[in-house]
Amino acid sequence: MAAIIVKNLTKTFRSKQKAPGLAGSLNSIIRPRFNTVEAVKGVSFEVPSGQLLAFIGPNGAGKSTTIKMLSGILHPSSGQARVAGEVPWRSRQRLAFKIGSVFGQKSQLWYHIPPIDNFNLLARIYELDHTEYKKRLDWLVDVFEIAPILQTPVRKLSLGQRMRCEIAASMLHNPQLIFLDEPTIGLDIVAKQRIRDLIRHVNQDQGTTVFLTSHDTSDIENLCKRVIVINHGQLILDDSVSVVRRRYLTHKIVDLRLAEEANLPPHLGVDVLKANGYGIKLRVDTTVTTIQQVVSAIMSGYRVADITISDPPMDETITRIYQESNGDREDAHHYDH
Amino acid sequence: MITRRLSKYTAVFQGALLSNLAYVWDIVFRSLFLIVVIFVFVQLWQLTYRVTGANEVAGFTLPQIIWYLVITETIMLSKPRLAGMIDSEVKSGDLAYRLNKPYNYVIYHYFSNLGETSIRFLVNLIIGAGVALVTVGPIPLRVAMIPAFLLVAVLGLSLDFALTAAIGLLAFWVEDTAGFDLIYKRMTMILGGMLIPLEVFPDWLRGVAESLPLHHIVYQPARLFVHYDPGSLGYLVGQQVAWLAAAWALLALIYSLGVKRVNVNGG
Amino acid sequence: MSTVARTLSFVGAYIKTNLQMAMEYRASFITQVFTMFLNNGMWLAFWYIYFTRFPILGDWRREDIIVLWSMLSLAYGLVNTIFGNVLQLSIIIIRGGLDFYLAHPKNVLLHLLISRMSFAAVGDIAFGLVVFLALTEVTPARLGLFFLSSLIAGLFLLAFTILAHSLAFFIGNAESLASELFGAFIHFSTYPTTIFGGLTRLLLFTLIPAGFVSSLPVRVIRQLDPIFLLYAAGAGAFLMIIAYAVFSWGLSRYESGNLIVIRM
Repeated sequence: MAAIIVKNLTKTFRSKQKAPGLAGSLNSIIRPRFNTVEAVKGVSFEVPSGQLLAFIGPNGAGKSTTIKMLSGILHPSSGQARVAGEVPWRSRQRLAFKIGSVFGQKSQLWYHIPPIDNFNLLARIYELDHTEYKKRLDWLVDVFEIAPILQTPVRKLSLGQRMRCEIAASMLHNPQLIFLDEPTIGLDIVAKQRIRDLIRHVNQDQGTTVFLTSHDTSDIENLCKRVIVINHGQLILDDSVSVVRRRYLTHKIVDLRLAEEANLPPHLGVDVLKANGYGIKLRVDTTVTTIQQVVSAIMSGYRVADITISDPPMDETITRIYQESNGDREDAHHYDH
Repeated sequence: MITRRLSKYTAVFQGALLSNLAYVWDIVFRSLFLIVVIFVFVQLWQLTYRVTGANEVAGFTLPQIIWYLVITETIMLSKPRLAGMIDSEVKSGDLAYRLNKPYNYVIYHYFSNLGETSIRFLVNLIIGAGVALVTVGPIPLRVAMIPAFLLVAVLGLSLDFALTAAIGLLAFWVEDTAGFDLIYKRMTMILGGMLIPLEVFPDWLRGVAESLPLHHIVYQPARLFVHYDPGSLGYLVGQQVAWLAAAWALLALIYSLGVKRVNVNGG
Repeated sequence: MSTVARTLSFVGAYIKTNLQMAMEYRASFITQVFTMFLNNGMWLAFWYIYFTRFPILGDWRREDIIVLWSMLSLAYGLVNTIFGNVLQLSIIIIRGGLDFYLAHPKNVLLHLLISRMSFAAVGDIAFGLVVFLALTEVTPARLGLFFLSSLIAGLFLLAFTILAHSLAFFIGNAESLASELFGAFIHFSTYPTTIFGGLTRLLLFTLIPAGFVSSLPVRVIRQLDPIFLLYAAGAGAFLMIIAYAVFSWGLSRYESGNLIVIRM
């Protein structure tokens, strides 16, 4: 069964327009004028159980509005949704037992007590059976490697340690689906990688569906198989990460260190990004030419001390996607999986 | 099932107890001011009693009135900053995010508040009692008084919770609830009998005070502590429960209207 | 221009700027004023109840307490309006905020104190004036003595606060300690010294000189005792000198935390 089914979900906010002054206030009561904001316009998608999905969009795109509707906080203006088999806004409390959530910016742990006390408290809040809870806790403590910090008050933990505890806490009640909002924000590279490994492990081992939002595109690259992009309240992309890369990755960056100073002749499809003495950075348009052609052309003329070929940062790709959708607001390209 | 449900809230209560115990010395330090307050009250009333030459004033002996003040101050100083916290949770959207958790927002806060209040109450009581013992000595205590006192005090604090939480929840509609909170607090301090027992009030003011629920929060528990009258306990508790029910009904109404706003506007 | 004139114009400039800022935040300003009225009003209600039942306390009557509260409000209001940063002094010291002022060619303490105005404090000024004018007997002489007493009380408040907060130079966690000391000072000064016994009274004229302040309504305003007036003014000035000396000493020991604080 699908973990999430969304059909034509729409949310329109109405706010009263009020002109300044007393006359304006009176007017707004007698003949009110409304500002309408269509935050989410007819969004549809399905998430199979056990998927690790990225849900991204620029600020104001309708991301958090969608998530709020999926967790039952916000009632949609129209449309349908089922999350873990429940209609979120109708059975919010029942749904609460089936989902977990971690919001990078907000902590759900009590600050002054250690994680173990927090976990025990959550066990009672989620009405967990004692033996099962113990088993689950042991497993989580092991996987998340938090045994050494179980007794340390949360306020004394580093951000990375705290995030591990937060995610572990969100999984205590064995939810079918977890919403992770910016779980790696503020973390250093090592900590980020650790969190990503944990999310991947949990997803694969337990089959927990993961609904990830992140502004860090390497989170997406490293973790997710599928990415949904929302902008201006509509889905503009819903595809596997590899397809996105292939479609949008039309450039490669070539970093060269030559053995001698050189003046490279212009080559079709090649932009020189940087050239100072021995070091040269090129951007190669792979729709026009091939890496093979460019590199052999250079190597036949010059001695190359070092060469690195890399993809442009995923950031760029995503930004392009956002910009394209700003340019032409047409329906999302839908690809089947 | 019911026990599982209740157990989650007692867990919250325990969590609050533990959490506040973790920085109890901070609480103790801030409560030291209580020493100054009680000390000054002792001086004031010692002089007052000396001047009137009577053993009893308005039905209180000197030690009784000091212990009365110890209890009222203890109660008032134990109350955490509830309205402001709820206000900011509403404004920041934290409340919205708590809606997808398997507990009721208001009840959660009730038990959390109770936990924090209990610790502060204990600390304040110890400090205040210390000053009272040293200055005016103990008052006769009947053991039977203690459970009655706790009952009346908890009912009073629950009433206070309901009213304060309702004020905080007004944040759904009002820019800044701090003004209402302050009015409420100051009214409780004066008309609730924190600074001076209702018996000393001029009659007309006493009438006003008794028509409001505020004296159930401060005056009644304190008075019971120094003047335990088992006969009137039933009537008192009955009144408290009535006010409590009304306040909670109001709170529930405001809360459900507020949540509807979240459901429509996203908080 | 003489140094005094220059200093006055410097202070005046800050007051003007702060007032302009207050006008920008008009709503919050009004709320704060209202808050002060409510706070102080509560205590007046207490004394109203007390004096209805017990008309005399020592040699104090209801009117004397009203004078005391209005005088204290005015004094507190003036201090926090002009020297609005005084209650933040220990925090500023601890968080390295002194650096900003050290980099300027003006007296550090003065500059620091006047660079902020507490809006709520204007409520205290209003309260003090309104209550005195409305609820007590007003004659030109009394009004003059009222202002004079308020200034002296303000001097004590300012000096004691500077002294208490300067502890931040010498001990850690001085913020809470300073605010508790300040709270104690204020609390003691709201009661007539007649209620206190010998030892406490000694304390109130030495270490925590709130006694000078609380005696002003009966020893100056109600009936002028010129010797006491001189005595109080002198003691206030003396306290201020000590406070300034302690601050300066602390400042010279101060090590900044490599922070240059940007003015907000």
